[in-house]
Amino acid sequence: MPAESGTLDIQALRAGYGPLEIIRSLDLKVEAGEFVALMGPNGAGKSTLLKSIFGMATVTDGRIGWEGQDLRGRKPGHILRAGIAYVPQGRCNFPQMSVDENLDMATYAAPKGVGKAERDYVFDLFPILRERRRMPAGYLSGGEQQMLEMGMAMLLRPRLLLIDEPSVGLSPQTIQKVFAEMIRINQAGCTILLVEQNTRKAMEVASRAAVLRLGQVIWTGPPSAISFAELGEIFMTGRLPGAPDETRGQP
Amino acid sequence: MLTDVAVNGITAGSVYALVAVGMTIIFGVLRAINFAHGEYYMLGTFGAWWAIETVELPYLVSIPAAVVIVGVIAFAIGVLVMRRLIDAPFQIGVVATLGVSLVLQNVVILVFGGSYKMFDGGWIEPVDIFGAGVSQQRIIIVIAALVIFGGLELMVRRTRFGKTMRAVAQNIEACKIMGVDVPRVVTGTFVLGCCLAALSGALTAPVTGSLYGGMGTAITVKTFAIIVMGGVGNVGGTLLAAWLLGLMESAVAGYLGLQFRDAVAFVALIAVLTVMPGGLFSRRERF
Amino acid sequence: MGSDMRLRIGGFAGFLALLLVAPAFLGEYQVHALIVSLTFLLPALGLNLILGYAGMLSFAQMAFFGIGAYVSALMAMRWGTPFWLNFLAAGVVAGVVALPLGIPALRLRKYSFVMCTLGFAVIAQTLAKNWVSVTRGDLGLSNVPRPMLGLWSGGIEIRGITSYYYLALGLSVIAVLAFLAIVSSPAGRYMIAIREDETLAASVGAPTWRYRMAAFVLSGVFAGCGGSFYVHYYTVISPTIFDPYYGNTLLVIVLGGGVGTLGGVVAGSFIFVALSEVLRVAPDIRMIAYGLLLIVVVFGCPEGLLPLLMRKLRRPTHAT
Ligand SMILES: Nc1ncnc2c1ncn2[C@@H]1O[C@H](COP(=O)(O)OP(=O)(O)OP(=O)(O)O)[C@@H](O)[C@H]1O
Ligand SMILES: [Mg+2]
Repeated sequence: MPAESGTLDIQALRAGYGPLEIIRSLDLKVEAGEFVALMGPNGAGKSTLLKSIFGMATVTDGRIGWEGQDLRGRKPGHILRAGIAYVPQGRCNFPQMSVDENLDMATYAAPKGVGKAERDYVFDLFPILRERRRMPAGYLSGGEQQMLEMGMAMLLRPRLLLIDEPSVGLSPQTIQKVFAEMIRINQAGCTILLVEQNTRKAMEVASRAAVLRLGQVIWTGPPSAISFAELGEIFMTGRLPGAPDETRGQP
Repeated sequence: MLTDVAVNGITAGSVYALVAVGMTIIFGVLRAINFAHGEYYMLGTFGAWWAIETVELPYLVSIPAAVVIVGVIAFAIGVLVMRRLIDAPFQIGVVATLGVSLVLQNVVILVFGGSYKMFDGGWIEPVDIFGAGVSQQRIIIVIAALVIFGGLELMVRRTRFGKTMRAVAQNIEACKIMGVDVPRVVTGTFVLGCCLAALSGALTAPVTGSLYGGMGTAITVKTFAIIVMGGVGNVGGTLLAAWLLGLMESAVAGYLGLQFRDAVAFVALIAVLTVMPGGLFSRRERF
Repeated sequence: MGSDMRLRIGGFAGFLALLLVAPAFLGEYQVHALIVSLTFLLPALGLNLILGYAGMLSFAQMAFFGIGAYVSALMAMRWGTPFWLNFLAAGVVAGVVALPLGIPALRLRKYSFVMCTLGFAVIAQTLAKNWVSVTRGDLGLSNVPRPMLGLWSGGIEIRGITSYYYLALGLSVIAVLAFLAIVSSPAGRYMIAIREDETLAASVGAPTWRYRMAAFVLSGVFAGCGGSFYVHYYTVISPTIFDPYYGNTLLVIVLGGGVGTLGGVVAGSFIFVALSEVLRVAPDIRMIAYGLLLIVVVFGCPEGLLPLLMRKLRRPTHAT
């Protein structure tokens, strides 16, 4: 078990919404301590993949291996306690509740007493939140809200962080800040699975890239192994330039 | 006359407030209009009446008995019906709760008969306040409303369940991600809201003096007017809007005639919404 | 799509043919039940317009229905005007009354609108009860003249149940055609666009509020006309017409049958009236059964009975 700590191993996953299948027999393995950037065109199923890991989509087949157990069919509360946190695409806070109360809510699934010491850890990660403790979350700027949501996810000290398009709508400086914090979180030992449209930025920070298209991982490898032009080509056509047919590069 | 109008108005308003605040918190977590809400008020009255007539409990004991009975009924309906309304379109909630209302109302009529019944209980000795004779029961109703609103405000701000209720009202998707058991919160809120309506029914019965199976409908309809005027999801606004309506109704009944009383709520509602589309107290607050 | 259209037209034609010959095979009581269904069809079409096409749930339909009924009855009783004029006037007055209600109400959020329209029904009832010099209060109006089919005075008086039935059927066919014309007009398509995505429709320049208003007024016209037929059939009217029960029945017809579809609403009118007639055999539990049924139907097939049926019918043909 300890050897597998922080390892996510998805095998032949089929998932979607009700009868609608979005993820079509997907395989993806994320090793402990990795920082994986998931990329792909709109509608490829990136968000759906994160939702299925977190128990918020209909999984019809396959296995979601996490530290030796299968998460398939588990509810978000259980998955949180198993050490995974999720920051979805779009706003995910309680706008009329204060920053403090939002952080209270984030520990809902945890055993009583958890969250006191962790709060200081979160405030150290995002000092701006400490200043805004009593302010309703809805009054924070977009970047501050993004940090609040990341803080809420980090409060339970997850070993895997699923994070969906954190850079949407943020200014370049704020994006810089958010990405810097993600690197710090990763260096502290938390595995990260990031969905990001800002390819350039994602390739800078990630230790590995994975390209999703039509519900399957069609290429994965270190960012250094691929150029932007090639990446664009994979996005559009589903294969590497020059490669004869289906390409499944391995690192 | 003026004192009478004021006393009657505040009493009626407090009764409405207790019913309406239940509806407003249920609306908050479920985004569904509860067309059966007045039936829980009716059931509260019937529960107390039944406890007094059949079990021969004293009135004081019949009140918690009524609340518990309604709580159990509400729990069953919460699990069977209300939970399914999470994420359901708006109209589904309207039709489902209309169905619940028909069932509750007509089961009561089937079991107890459709005729008016006399309610025998409560403390109706008058007390002298500013020269007007006010029955003790009315004073109790007003105090109960104040205490319960204070308690609710505290619960919603301070307790874990209260915070969770607000959280579900503000962002249900985020709640799911935090691992909140949304169906449980919905059922809990629903039971709480129904128990408040039942309490209101049991407390008012000595003042109205009679009860019948169809008495809930008029209350449901007035409650709608109150929660919209008060700004939906606004606990404090609900109390003020309820008092305002109670006072207006009692003034209209006193000076124009009783038959116009039941239309007051909606004339006021339409007038208020024409000028202030968000209601009288439209802070954007949910709870 | 083409076969779908043919299926629909065929379905309607077949159903209409069935209705045309129905009295030859049915007893007086069943014909009466059919007339009741057709009476509910008009306000139900109106509700379908405002709910199914403009996305606003209105409880004012029965108020418009009642207003139409009172207007038509009073005109016939006081001035002896012919049926066609009363019928049209009932629709026009109901539509005109909808206007000042719609001005504040349609700007509101969905649930506030629901409550405003519910309140309107309460106000209408209070008025009908208390404006005794005109409405005779709780007593209501009785001995309302039967419909006279003639240009001005005289003409044929509709008496027998079969003639009533064909009058109702004729009016219903006209109403259904009018409904079709409305929803397939450019305005109707805008309404659908607004229902699907209000922000988007507004951003492409559709004057959302004006179309909603049109839908609301037209829903009043349909209901008012329905009320006119109703009052000349039953020949009595009292403030109980504004009771929530009738409004709920309409809602059940439209939502149970299939909101936003024409066939669903037509089917809903017949199914639910038939159902409440069947439940009459057990008067004690009639309303309880009705309530339970509402709950079961709304969770069992939230999109309505007819769309469910259509899907079931279509699936096998798709597979082959
Ligand atoms: N709740 C839902 N119900 C039904 N279908 C959905 C739902 N959410 C997403 N979809 C569909 O699933 C498909 C994949 O959506 P998903 O959000 O996973 O894409 P994505 O890769 O995250 O795209 P983007 O880059 O635009 O965020 C899309 O076709 C979308 O329409
Ligand atoms: Mg996405």
